[in-house]
Amino acid sequence: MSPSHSKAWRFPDRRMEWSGLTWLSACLLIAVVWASISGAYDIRVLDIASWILGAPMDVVSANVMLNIRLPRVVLGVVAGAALGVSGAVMQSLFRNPLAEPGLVGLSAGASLGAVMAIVMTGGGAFLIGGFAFIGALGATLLAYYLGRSSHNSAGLLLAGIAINVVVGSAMGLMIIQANDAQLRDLTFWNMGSLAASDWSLLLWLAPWTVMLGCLLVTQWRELNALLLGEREAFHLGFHLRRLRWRLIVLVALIVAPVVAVTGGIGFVGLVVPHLVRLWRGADHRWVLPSSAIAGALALTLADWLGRTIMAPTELPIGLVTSLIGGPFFIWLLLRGKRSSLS
Amino acid sequence: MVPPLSLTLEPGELMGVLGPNGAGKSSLLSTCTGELPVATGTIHLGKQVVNPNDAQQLARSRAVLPQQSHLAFNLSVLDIIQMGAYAFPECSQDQVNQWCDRAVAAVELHTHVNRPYQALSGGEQQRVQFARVMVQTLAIQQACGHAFLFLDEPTASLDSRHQSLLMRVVKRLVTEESVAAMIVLHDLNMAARWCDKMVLLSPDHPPQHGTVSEILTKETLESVFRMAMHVLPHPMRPDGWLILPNE
Amino acid sequence: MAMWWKSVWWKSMIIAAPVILAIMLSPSAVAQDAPIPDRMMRLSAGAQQTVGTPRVVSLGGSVTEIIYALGAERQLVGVDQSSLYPLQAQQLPSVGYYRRLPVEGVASLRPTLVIASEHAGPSGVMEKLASLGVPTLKVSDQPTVESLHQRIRSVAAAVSRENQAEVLIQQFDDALSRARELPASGLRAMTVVMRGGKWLGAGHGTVADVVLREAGLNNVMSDQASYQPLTPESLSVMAPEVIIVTSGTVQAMGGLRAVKASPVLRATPAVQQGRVMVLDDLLAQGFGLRLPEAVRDIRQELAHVAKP
Repeated sequence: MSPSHSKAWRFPDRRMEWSGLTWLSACLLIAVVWASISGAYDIRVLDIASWILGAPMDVVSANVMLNIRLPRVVLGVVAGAALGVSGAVMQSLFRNPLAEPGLVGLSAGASLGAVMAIVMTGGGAFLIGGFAFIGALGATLLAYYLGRSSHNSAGLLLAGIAINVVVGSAMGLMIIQANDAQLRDLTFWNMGSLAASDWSLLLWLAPWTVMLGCLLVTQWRELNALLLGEREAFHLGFHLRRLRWRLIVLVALIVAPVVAVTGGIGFVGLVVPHLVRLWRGADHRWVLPSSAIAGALALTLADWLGRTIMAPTELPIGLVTSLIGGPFFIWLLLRGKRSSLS
Repeated sequence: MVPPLSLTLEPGELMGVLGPNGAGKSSLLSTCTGELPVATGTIHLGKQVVNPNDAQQLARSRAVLPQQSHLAFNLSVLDIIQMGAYAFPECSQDQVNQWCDRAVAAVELHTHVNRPYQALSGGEQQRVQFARVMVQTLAIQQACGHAFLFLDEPTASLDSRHQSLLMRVVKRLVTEESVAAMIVLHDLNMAARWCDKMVLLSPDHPPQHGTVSEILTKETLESVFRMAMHVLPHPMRPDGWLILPNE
Repeated sequence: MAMWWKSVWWKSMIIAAPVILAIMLSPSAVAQDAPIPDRMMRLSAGAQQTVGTPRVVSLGGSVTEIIYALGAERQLVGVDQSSLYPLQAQQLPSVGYYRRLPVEGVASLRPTLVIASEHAGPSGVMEKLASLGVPTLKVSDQPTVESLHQRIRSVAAAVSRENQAEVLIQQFDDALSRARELPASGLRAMTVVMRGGKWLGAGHGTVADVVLREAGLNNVMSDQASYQPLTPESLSVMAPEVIIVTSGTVQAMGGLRAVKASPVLRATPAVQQGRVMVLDDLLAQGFGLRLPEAVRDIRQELAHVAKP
């Protein structure tokens, strides 16, 4: 019965995916350059060009570009990459298109930490960041602990939801005691901002994120197998409990510092992976690095928009991502079966 | 719950696991594949003891075809077929391509290879899953010489034509590659048609195993399934049997 | 084989996490700017800032008010969101909420001086502005008379109006003592705002509470801290006879009638007897130059209902 078929098909040589990655990287590079030279403070492009060629530039402009703007842009790239790649991982881990990094209590824990820092202490940037980091990790680990006995990820999901609810109530209790200024601070923290960026922060945050991002990208086989189903992933050679633990920990470690520094930025982890899948498919060998790059691109542009659209005032970046990400997500849903959502 | 059982699976043999609902067919299969731990005794796949905690070692010894697979996000057919080699990251891409080539040819899916999985019909999807399983089996066969294949009611959601297509492909793989295979089936006739050996499980009788002719007798079947059964020589196939339940 | 390094890796991540935390919490991790290469220190000739024209950015409603009162408003090039009085101030470019200042946004106004309330934030923003070469000044911003005096003096010195400072202070003190002499009604009162769809009342620890007490009123919410949500039940217990509402809230609600008709407030004695007063946000919630005005207005308004 073996038909002597002529090979009517060929293995894709991955050229499509490589070209997609190249496109995204090029766009990111352009966005980074653009966001660095453009901002509320007017610096003429000619001046920048001549400065690069060796001419002096006035101190204030140089300072604005190198010490105010550039750290923000780099933080945008780092945070966007972290959010993008971990959104993709969460969606595949839970086999749920609505998953995002905050699902297992990460964002709620970070917010609770921030609330506690703001309301109970004076709330300096480092205190808030530290508390948010502890909160994010703690909530995630608690959710994992509660959900680990279930033999599939549904338990983890439920535990994450429970944590989110409990943390929300705890936050409410703290908020009641907050005074007006603290409430405003919390509102702004929840809307996110890249303003806390400076080079000493990026010195450890950037390598940390890159390292964890690389670790996550190596999990592409595991995540592909998870798409088939948890049983099938086991049959293909992946120990599920260990895999779940590994992925949750990696996601928590890559996102928690970012959330601690930037506050709550939503929709990037949710929408970016879907767009990436729509473009070149759901194979994680492509989806993971592209979600990182696309997330970086999205956040860089969102921050640029927030900084310039209403200059001299600034729109919080979380607001920009919600305003743009929300309708985008609705559009994704309306595409229905033709989209990457099953 | 699986009753106490002692079985040997020979390469090149397709062993059917049958019985009424609740007899423990799926549990037996799950224990063999390493998903469920064994209460007493051990299971060996070749020389390897089945250890539910060593998923990678298991994947390098046996492949499993489930009943149905729901894909969370849309992958292409080829993406899925290539997953069969995930337990063998040390193999070259050329080698994997070769296996995929054979698998696609065996299930006759060459026109669908680059299509998205969710665009396929149920029967085609199951063939894709089988192609993946076949890739894994070929990889195992090459790595350690004896591969085990477990199939959990793979035809349950298929129409008659696709059922026989799939079974034919399964049988070919088993005989041509000398794979030791165990399949859980509901359909007695299908088991009679394709299996070499059989295990008959029952909630209130001790399990029985042997060749098809030994197991498929009127008395055995009636006592296990507790309904009248007729076992007739197959009108079309000289060595075959036709089983007719009689209500 | 290929797998072992992965498991070591992620285990070391877990160990590294507390280290990261320690670094984050350590005070030594203070913002350090990248050193500016030498060649940038030379100012290019064309970019010399003219020292002549002062460009002042004022951050904080009370600060802006003082600048206008000192007659130095022509130096202003930018304000913040809370600089609502006088109305002309709202025409100036605003950099947003003064506790959440965008450094680049403030710098883009090319100020020669930034005068900010001590509450301006986020933390470190004034230092960042200073590192850009923008002179900054933080002024005292507490709800006390002493703080206001200090504020007036600091601002006046910064905008070269020192002589007007004392005049202003004297005017304020006189007005305040005259206002304080007016009969205090001692009525039960509260200051309310609508925020996020909810009615909030000012408890102790708020500037609004200070204003109420200066106005000779008895804050029914003084046993609660900060701004607390209001419900019809709690209001029926507290039964305020006077309600002060901010003009921002009235605007947001679409008029005083809508405020009075709100289910939370309408059963209160204050609304029933028509004793709802509207003050602009800075007046009701701020301790600024116009405090004597607010005190006088409230005391005069309620003089005829003063308890014997």
